[in-house]
Amino acid sequence: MNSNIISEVAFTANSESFLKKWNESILQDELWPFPVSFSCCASELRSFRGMQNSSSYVDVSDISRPPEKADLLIVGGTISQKIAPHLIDIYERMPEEKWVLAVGACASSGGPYWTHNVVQGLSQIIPVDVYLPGCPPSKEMIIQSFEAIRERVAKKVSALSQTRWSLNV
Amino acid sequence: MFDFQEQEDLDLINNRKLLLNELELEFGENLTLGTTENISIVVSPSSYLEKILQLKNSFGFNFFLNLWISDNIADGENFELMVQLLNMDTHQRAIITCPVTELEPVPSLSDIYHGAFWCEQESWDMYGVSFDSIPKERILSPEGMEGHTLRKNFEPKPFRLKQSVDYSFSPDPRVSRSEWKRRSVHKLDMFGGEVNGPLRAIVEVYDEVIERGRLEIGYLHRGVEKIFENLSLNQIQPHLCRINTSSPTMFQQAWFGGIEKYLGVHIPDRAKALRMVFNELDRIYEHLDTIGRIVDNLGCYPFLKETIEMQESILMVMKKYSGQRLNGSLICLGGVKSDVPKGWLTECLNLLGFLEKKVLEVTKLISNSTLWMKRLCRFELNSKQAMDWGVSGPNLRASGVNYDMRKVSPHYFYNDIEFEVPLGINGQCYDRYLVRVEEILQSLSIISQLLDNLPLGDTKTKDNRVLIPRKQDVYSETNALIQHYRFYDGGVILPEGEFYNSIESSNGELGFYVHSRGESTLNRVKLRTPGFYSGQCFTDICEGGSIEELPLVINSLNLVVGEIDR
Amino acid sequence: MILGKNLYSKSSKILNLLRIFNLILPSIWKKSSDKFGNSEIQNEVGAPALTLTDTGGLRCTSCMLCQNICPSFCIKIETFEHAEEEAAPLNFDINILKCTFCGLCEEACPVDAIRMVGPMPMAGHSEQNWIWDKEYLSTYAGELRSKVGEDRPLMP
Repeated sequence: MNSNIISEVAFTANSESFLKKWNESILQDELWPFPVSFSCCASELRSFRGMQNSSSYVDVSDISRPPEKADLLIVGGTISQKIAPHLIDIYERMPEEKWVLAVGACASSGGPYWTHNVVQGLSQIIPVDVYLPGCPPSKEMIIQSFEAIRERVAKKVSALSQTRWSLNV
Repeated sequence: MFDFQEQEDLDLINNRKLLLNELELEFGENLTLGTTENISIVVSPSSYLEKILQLKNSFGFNFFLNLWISDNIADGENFELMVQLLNMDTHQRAIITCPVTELEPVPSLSDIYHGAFWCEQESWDMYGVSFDSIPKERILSPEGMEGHTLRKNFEPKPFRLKQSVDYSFSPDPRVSRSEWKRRSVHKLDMFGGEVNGPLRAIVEVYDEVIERGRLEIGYLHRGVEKIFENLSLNQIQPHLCRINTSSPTMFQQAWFGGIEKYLGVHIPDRAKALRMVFNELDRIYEHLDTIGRIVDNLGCYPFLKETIEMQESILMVMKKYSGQRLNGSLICLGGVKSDVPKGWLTECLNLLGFLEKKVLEVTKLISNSTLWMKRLCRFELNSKQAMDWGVSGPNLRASGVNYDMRKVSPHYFYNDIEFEVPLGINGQCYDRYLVRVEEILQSLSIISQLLDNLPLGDTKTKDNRVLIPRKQDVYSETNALIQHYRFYDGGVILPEGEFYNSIESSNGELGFYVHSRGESTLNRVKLRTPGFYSGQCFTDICEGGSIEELPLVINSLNLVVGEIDR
Repeated sequence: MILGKNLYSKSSKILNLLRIFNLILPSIWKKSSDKFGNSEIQNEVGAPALTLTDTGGLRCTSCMLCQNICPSFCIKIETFEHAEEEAAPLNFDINILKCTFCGLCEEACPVDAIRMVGPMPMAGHSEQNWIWDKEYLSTYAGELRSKVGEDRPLMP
């Protein structure tokens, strides 16, 4: 826990702003993920789950957590037209502050499958924060991508807020 | 021993001659012989059902392999329906061809062979040919789409996805109507990681006990067969490893082995032995995957970590060979990618010793405990149902049927190696788990026999039709440069005709059917994957369980959705 | 057979007890899979990079063989209008989000102009430019000067 949290939280006016500041400071230490994986990249995420310590920034070992309690959505594997509405449903069930990570070539841009049945990239259906190319990417790259997300969380930048901002203007 | 083997071979040849004589008497000139193992028969639409019943009852073709539609005639409207059957005594495969059109419905085979149900639904989805008493519903493509994908004049149009689909069951003939009305229908979505891919199960439940159920597939349909028809032969290599990512070299062996047999290309002995080593390593990798998922579903997380560590050590050894962990293209046309690097053989032998110790450690602790047997000795599949649905591989051997393609129709050096085939007794989840554990140990002894006697020589063939010249020659000689351009600009062109090639993969029989018209791209490619038929037998097994146990049933059959949906 | 002793060997009860402890406390013992694959890997696959001649220009002659063979269609080449002006391409773009690192472009090139030796791409924010152009491809892996005819460890 940060030692500055007491000094930040002490000057709050009501309970709503108190909870908001508490939440923002906790997000610096730990993010709760919701991993979804369909095809080849699932084997890389599964071996990452098996070799992980519990003291890292993102802990993937508990797969029974529902999306209502998650901050980070990790998507890997090819996305077909039949499963796209279910992904949008999962994304909308997550709480307000959320970030999205696309793992692999198929989730970033459709990969080598140029048929009409495959969605050419996750950015066509939901706003994406960080891309990770590779086919499949190795475990060290996945750990390094969490550092990129940590930067975004510290500066409070997310793709969701940017799209809403541009729609309003 | 030697006389016994010779006597068996003579018996097999005599039986095949008898069968061919009887078939010639019956069919006359409609019968053609491709090789000694593949027969083709042409039938007219009016006598289609009758001839297939005759083949099943009097000629012994009682194992259902595949049903598909092909457009070998370059017409937009006339198609050919092909059914493939296997005779388990003489190990011969017959393809029965029948001309069909879009306008007249064809009689359905799902009463004779249950495994034809999903095949006929897929034929309507992809080509538009309808069958009697099969509902016209999409199985792989999304609902609401217009048009049929695999036709040559298909143009994609935007459509609106239909969200509300009717999931009701027809009345059960085994119980009275009032009892059937008390049941309720539930859906279970498995998109997270419980199963190897996205699947949905629809079950009918009364008082928390499942009475009937079925699976819904198509959530990972990528259109691989359409892609194969539009790429040239050298571009296809990266797509083969990504269909089933736990055993990529099996798909490469089935594809390249078939093309080499068709063209008549001989590969050197060292390449054959190295291809067999890669296949057996992939078999071990996939069986470890299945055991890890069963262990995870029953809640033992430390054992899952042990199996993942064993899989990592296999991947490290493969990375030392080719530079990539999972999707490195190790098997290519004409041999293996490159020669063995320095020190790889000793590392491989160390790996075998490490794996053998670990597997015995982990499984001895759990296989004999009464709690393990109580949770797993359920969900039975008997041998008659298995042969009807078309299930093969370890799932069939766990029900007691002794059929392994490495023993009955061996290729390369499988005849000269000693190994045993484990069999189960009851067909329950416990048998499927134990058969896979014993097959890992047998594969370890196969690999050590191969590496002890590895033949010397080249790793690529010297045949001119297939050979890519070496890079040093391309930079300096003009002959090599001309051959390089000819290979990469036009590609290898297959002569006109068709072939079928199959091997024993880690889940069952895996086959490729290819038809070519002599152009630079192929006309029709059909994959026979073992997961498609194991997924259908879920309707027989799931009775009597509860909803929380469904992922355990699906993982014990080892359903990989990349294989089912293609 | 070398492994004749290890297969089907019997073990004593004391060793069985020690193995149970081995499984319950896995974090204390060293992971055995660290023993494999630690020696130098000579032929590790990297990201595509363009090579230079001795004088500093691109070795590529715009023959389009790599563009025709890529299975994901991620390479795009544009040439100058007249071939006598310059054989090297005007634009050479690779969409790195679509690349599957299969190595077919390196096999197809007849003049040794593209090689898979660059460092693998890192994760990045979605606002950055994911299309790598000619200048980036020829400098990000150091200055690669290839000598035609040298011994290459990747392809025989």
